[in-house]
Amino acid sequence: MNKIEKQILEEYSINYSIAAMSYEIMGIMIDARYVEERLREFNISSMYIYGGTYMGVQLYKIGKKVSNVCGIVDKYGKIVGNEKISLMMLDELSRVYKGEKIVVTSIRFFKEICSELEMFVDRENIIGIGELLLGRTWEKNNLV
Amino acid sequence: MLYMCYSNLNEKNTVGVKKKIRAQCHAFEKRVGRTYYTFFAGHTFYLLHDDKVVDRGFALTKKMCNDIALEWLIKYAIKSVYIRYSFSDVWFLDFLEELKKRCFKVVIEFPTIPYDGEHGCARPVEDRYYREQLCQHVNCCTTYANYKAVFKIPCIPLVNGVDLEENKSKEYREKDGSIILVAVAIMEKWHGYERVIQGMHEYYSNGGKVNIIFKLVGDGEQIPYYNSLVERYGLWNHVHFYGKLEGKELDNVYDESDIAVGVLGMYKVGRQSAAPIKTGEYCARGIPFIYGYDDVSVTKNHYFVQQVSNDATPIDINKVIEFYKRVYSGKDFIKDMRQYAMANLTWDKILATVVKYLSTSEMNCN
Repeated sequence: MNKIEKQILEEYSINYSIAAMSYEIMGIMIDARYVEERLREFNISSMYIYGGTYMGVQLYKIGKKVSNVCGIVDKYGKIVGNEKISLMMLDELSRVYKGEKIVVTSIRFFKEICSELEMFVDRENIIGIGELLLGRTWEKNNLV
Repeated sequence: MLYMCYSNLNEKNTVGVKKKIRAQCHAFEKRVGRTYYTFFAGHTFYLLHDDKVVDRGFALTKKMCNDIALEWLIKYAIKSVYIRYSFSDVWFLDFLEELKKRCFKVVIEFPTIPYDGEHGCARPVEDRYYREQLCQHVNCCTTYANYKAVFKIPCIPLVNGVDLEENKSKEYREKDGSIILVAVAIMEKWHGYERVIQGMHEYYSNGGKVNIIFKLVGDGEQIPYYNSLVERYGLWNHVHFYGKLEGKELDNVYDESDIAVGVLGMYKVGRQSAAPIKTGEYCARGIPFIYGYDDVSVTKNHYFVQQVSNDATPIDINKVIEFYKRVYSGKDFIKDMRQYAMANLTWDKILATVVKYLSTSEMNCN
């Protein structure tokens, strides 16, 4: 297989993984009690949700029962549905941010979003939605 | 050393795998040096040491995991890699090629060989194609069966180790005329415990007089099937289901049992030779057992084990009774089995040859 063929195959592989993971996560999000448990396990007392998507809105609805959800952040200031939820753009977040956790609901653009957030947020405070629901908790002082 | 695992060790059904990996890492750490392990869950690849997360990276695919691993090898000054095999693809071969180019010592562990009949591989055609090329990049592998080579890679056969602290010696049960059999497992098709239930049915249909009790400890997909057999044969007084037990409750069941039942259904997955974890646990506890395959951990010459056929034949309960009488004739089988486990089935002992390969400049491991 030449380099270009490998890159093409890799793109298919990534797209497949994103679709599979998104499907799995949307299924898990139906179980509100599980999501609440996970938020407690990760010790998330205060958070922002990055992404005004269905996943973001669903996480907001569940998350506000167990955590202080400061708002949903969306790069383009958009949110699905007609929910009355505090919505802010990235530059506003950078002004008000005080060290809360940020749960990023986009899987496809997680890396890019992380890079933008890391300008004013510690990496340890950025958690992907997949990590929140399926991953492992960790102690900050164990991370190198 | 880096112990690479691509599975999600956060799931309930990987508890056993995680225990095993941690035990292996402890053994490696004593001889090879600081040993990290990895797992992949929720689009995150984790690096752990001593069960604590020390690093993590965003990953959607195995290729991305491999790329992160290459960064960690440099960041943490790691010299050797032990890989728990999941499946082969072009990315895995590229990763092995890169490790070889950078002169890392690499060992691949095949958790099960052969595995084509088991639950599978998501991409079996791809795996079957690329695994034939593994031998171009790796000089050493391990598996839990007696093979000199796997996919043409020289192989160090291993057995499954046992944690002696978690598996305490059982207590002696006073004889009361009954014989209590016990099987402890997550009941899958290859356990083949229906052979015992069918054997008990034949025994009692032919006028058998000894009170045989069969205790099944654990959950699993075969439970409804075993239940249906017990119902069909009217064996409710003789077959008891306990569900999952741990700690003191499990210790008590072993204390109140006489003979353990190992795997009896290897023929269903096309295997003759194996080293299930259960063998080590039964030895550590000191409970004689029957099994239906060639066990790499213990030969059939030991008086405290009885090998039966590897097929669908119902277990001959008369032979089990004879085995019981032989073992329970005054021998200190608990002490003998425990000593056997200490001498042969701890991970330190089992991994010694692998450690030697990783620590020296030998190119091949056998």
